[in-house]
Amino acid sequence: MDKALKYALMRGATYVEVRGQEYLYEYIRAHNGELKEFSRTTLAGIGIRLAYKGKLGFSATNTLKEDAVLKAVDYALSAAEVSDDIVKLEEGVIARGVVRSSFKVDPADVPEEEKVRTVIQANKAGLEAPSIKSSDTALGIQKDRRYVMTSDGADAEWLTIMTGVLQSSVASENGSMERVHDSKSKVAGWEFIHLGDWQSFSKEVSLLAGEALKAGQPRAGKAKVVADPELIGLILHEAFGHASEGDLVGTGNSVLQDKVGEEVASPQVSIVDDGMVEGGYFMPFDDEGSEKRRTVIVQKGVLKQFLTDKTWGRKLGMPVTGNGRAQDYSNPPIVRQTNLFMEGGDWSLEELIQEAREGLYLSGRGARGGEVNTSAGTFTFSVGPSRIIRNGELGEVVRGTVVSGSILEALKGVVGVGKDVSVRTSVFGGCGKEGQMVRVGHGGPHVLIKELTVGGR
Amino acid sequence: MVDIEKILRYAHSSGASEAEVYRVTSRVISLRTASKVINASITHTDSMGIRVAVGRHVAIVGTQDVDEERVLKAVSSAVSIARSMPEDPEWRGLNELVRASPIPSLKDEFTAKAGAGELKEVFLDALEGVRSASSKAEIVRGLFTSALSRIEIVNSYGGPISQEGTSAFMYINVQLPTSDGRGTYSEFNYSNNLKGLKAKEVGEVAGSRVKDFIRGSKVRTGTYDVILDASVTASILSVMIAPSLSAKNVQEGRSPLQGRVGEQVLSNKLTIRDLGTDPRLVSSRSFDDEGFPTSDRTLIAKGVLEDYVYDTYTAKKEGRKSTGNAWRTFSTAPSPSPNHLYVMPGDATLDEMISSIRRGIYVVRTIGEWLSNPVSGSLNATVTHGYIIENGKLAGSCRGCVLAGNIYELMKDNLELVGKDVRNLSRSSSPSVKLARVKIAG
Repeated sequence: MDKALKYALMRGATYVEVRGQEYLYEYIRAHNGELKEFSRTTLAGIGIRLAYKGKLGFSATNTLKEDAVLKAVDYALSAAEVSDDIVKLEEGVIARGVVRSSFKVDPADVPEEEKVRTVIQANKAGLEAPSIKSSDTALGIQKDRRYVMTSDGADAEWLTIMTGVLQSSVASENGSMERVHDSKSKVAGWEFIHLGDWQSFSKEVSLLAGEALKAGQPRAGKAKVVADPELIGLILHEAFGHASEGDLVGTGNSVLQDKVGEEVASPQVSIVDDGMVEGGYFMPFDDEGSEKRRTVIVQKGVLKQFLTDKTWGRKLGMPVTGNGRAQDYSNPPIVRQTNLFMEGGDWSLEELIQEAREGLYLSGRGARGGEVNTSAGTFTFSVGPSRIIRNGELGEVVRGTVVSGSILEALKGVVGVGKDVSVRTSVFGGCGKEGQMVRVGHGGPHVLIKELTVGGR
Repeated sequence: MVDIEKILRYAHSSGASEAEVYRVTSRVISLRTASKVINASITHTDSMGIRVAVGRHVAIVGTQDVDEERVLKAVSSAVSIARSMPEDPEWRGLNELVRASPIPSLKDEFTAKAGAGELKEVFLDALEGVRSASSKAEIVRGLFTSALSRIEIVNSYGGPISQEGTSAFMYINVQLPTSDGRGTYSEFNYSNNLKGLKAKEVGEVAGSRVKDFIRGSKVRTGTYDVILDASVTASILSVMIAPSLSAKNVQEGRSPLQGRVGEQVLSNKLTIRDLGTDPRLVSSRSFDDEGFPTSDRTLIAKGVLEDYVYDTYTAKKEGRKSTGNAWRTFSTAPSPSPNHLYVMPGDATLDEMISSIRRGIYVVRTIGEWLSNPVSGSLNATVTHGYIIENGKLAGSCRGCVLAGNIYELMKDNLELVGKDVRNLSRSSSPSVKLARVKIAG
């Protein structure tokens, strides 16, 4: 890495960022009591980004011989040549040191038999519920070690270990089918899997699938909703997180452009992006060699700050927030969220449901994610099996559906914010942007929103 | 360079009764743009997937850590994982017919040789197209990629065989600032070669359509006749129908099409083929990800389900032959899915569809259709760009409404017209369709 950096500087680059990565992922899947897949993925490679004649170029290779790495520097220089954008990079808080996420037992050291046994036992428990025709269980293990070295002095290494279990159950009766899935992940070692009760977990998902099978669809149209902490995280991520990403703002792709200092949400709403928060993903540094610190995006309803990297910090005249992230060594860093969540308020869940009177209690359990068009200002997200709110009380279960809203309206309609903040992440998925998938976390408390559009019958 | 036959021999000598080596080498050039190129990248990757069986104990190791010594170590670890696995009683062995279909080359020489400079020309063509349609419109976000890849497969029964292919993709989000607000519209295209992207024409369409989407009105919740644009239909069917045609989902109880071969599952106006070898489609290939030759087949004929798609595992389980539909990444187990779901065009023109509607919506862009549930058949998509239809004519634009319904009802009982136009996405193609009485939440 050091050689590549020196070679690039010698070739005339004015800024050089060399990233290395060693990555391990294990995925173990069982279906209806039988093991169906044990796969192990390993990556090792180098990505090089540089500024040459004021323009950025990137190249990557996983042939780790000296000539191939130096050739990658040449490709990065030639990539910079075709760019039209003269950039100046802002310095972040320079990353230095070696950090690792906390874990007790390295999952790479756990015998395969123990992993398989855990998956099969949980999978069989998933069949112990009425009407269940298909039980799928997966165990995911990730070990991601990243290095970054830059010409402005960053020299850092960090290791993130994460484990989790996913259950997907299909209930079927009289020609009607319903699937519900849920997963639990944690930045932790094997101890998280070892101490968890995964048989109860998968059985609960199956029971929920059976319940959803019998449930009706919610009524289509506008509704008052109470979103649970899982779901509010998803809503914020889609409705607000993406629109606050500096690259989208700076290129005119976000409806939040020119809105700093303005009220964009109810005064009860404060939104934070933090690389290290309990329950979330672990990201002490970003892939540009900046420290990722706590960034307050919205404070009491007022838009304060966009998420930035070295390029967009300078262009937007804002500090570098350490949000330059790459999927892996083979992709250049772009502005991404880390753990985005809403801070707690002072309502209890009962108060929120009473205040709603009529509407829906939307649950993130079984939700599959969301999508946003930040320039048109429309977002959508899925919800899991949920409940009707009637006369200020929880009523019957309704099937999962999708909900949509407008970025500039949704959070202004926040009526009440709960006390109970929780943040979560997943070893099975993440957030996609420009073809790059990164792990993220999201969450918040229970929140009452005046109006969202619900798809249904 | 690591020799895949050497890896195979090593797997056998390490105790594997069967082994398969799958290798993908690729070079991807991409440009991120606004109304100018913001940055470019050139990436080379070499990825290997090794599947081994010791009797009926199976494991897969995928690696981009391709130093020869480390690959051989990965092979030993695959064998040792396999040994510690419980038996898969349904394992009947790897693909025994390792062979390529005789199809025209999928590699375009110009695209294969093109560098970042040639790709930039494509971007400039797109920009010219946008500006020729609307002088004040700008590309605010663009992604242009060109890829050259080579796939090699060898297993205990045959090979090595290899194929090379090129592909290109472009996406542009166009914005038009006006005193009334900002118009937005996005366009994209896929092709096996850079020229086939027709970047200038794509730019012209985006530059022209953006004028229609400056201020969309809200739609009132209700029931409307709906035209789904070809690209929207292709996207919805790839989410809702493609997974249900996979023999894996059928066998594992996740497909509503299970046990329905011979039944009328969609409207008799719909015929859906699976095209594996058509050189115009970016998903085409001469063999699948297990080395089995690909083909073109009809899956749904005039609405009647004829067959599912199989890989070796699911085919052998039913005592039949694979259909050449195995798909995988280098590090995961192959799984069957349609190579390219192709809905055959009908005879309606867009004008005919519009003029047949008294009160409706012409949906041209959606988000979130992938959040729908193919297992229950419940479709949901959020319309970001649509036209309102009143008395057979377009009457302004709309946005932010949610379209919902059961796909098997919508595409059977509610389907009235199938368009002449066909739009190709990466893994699906479709004409536009007209659906009567669709629930829209506004």
